[in-house]
Amino acid sequence: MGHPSITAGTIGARVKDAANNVYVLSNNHVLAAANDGLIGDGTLQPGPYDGGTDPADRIGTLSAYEVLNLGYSGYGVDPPSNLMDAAIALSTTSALGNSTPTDDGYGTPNPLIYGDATGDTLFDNPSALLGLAVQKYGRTTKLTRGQVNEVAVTIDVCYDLFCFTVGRFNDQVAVCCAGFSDGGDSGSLIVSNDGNRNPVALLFAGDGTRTYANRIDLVLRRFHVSIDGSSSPPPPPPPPAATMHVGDLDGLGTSQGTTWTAVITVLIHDAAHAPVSGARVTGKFSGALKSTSCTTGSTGVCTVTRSKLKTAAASFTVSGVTHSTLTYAASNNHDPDGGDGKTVSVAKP
Amino acid sequence: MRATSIEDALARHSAEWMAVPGVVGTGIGLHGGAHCLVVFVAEHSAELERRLPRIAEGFPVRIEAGGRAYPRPLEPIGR
Repeated sequence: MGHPSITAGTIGARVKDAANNVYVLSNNHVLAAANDGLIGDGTLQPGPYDGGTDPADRIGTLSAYEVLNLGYSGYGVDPPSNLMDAAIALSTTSALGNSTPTDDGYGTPNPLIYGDATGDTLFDNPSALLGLAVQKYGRTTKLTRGQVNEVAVTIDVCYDLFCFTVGRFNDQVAVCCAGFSDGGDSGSLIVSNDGNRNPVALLFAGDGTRTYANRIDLVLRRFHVSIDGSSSPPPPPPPPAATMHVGDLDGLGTSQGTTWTAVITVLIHDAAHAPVSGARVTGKFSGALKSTSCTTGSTGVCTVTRSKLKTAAASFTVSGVTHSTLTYAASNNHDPDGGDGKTVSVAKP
Repeated sequence: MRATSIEDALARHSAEWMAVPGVVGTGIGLHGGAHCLVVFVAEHSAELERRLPRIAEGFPVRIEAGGRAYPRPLEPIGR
């Protein structure tokens, strides 16, 4: 889905205003082509990259967007500040459903946002989001689950190839870990990973380890809309999400004369600290351009190596762990050697 | 006992840390089940380790390296 001049993004949710007009909720850079769109421009489903054409595939028209404040950053110049990358497009209930796909989605989001017992449409305590298990459905990575790892985040986001055009986003939500989202998932609605599916945030950006999202309470308030979600009672909540974490992270250096090799061993535990097999561990060596992965065996252990090193030391940082049934809980990482279970350094032997 | 909230501590230090070359973000996270301050860096370096504190106003400071952040349309802007 998206503006005719972009590739493709994701419909976050169907939202409605006080007059019951319904809208597509997504990002400015999806619906308004990062400020280049004009009010009234088409919203295509599927997006242009997926074969959508204008006007045949219009499901709406751009109605409003929060202007992205972007500018140069560097040499002591701070980029302009933003709170959200968000927009809405006017649509109809016949053109726009309010549920994620029935075969592989999470269902319909709750009209009530997470953590708003006072009913004032703002989070009662944004810090209460820390550690919250969440899920999202996106165009590219479909249904994924993660955890809110940071709140009150200020993050500089690059809007061009060389990172000359930057926006500084304040009061954001960061979701762990790698694999939670990818290109094409922009605009996804992040909801709580329980039977309530309360909206939490609007996905818009990411880096190697985190997905960044706008606070949904501020987004909905900006456009004077609410989630047009399910009004039926939610089903009973499922059991708590099963999690896994790094239980040991060791490094060893072996010499090959003028060069040396760093060997990193990772042990993955489940919540009961039992070894987990079939977990795919992804991370990056210091100075490496690409990430490295390995998959744990029956002992819960796997190994990654980096050879032909000439530096005095090397480090390896775990960026994510995926598994068919378990969710990575990085905050539970530990290391019996005293490390944090996320990064280990190895000295040249 | 700390004399300040972590939100206030972040507000006092965020701009100072964001001005350090290589720092791309700040926030509030968890460390061992307790609140901590977080500094996001594009890449770990000895210089950043030297310039950033381990503790600020009694709160631990966690440093996270994840590269630069980009929007996530299908072909991400900037990639």
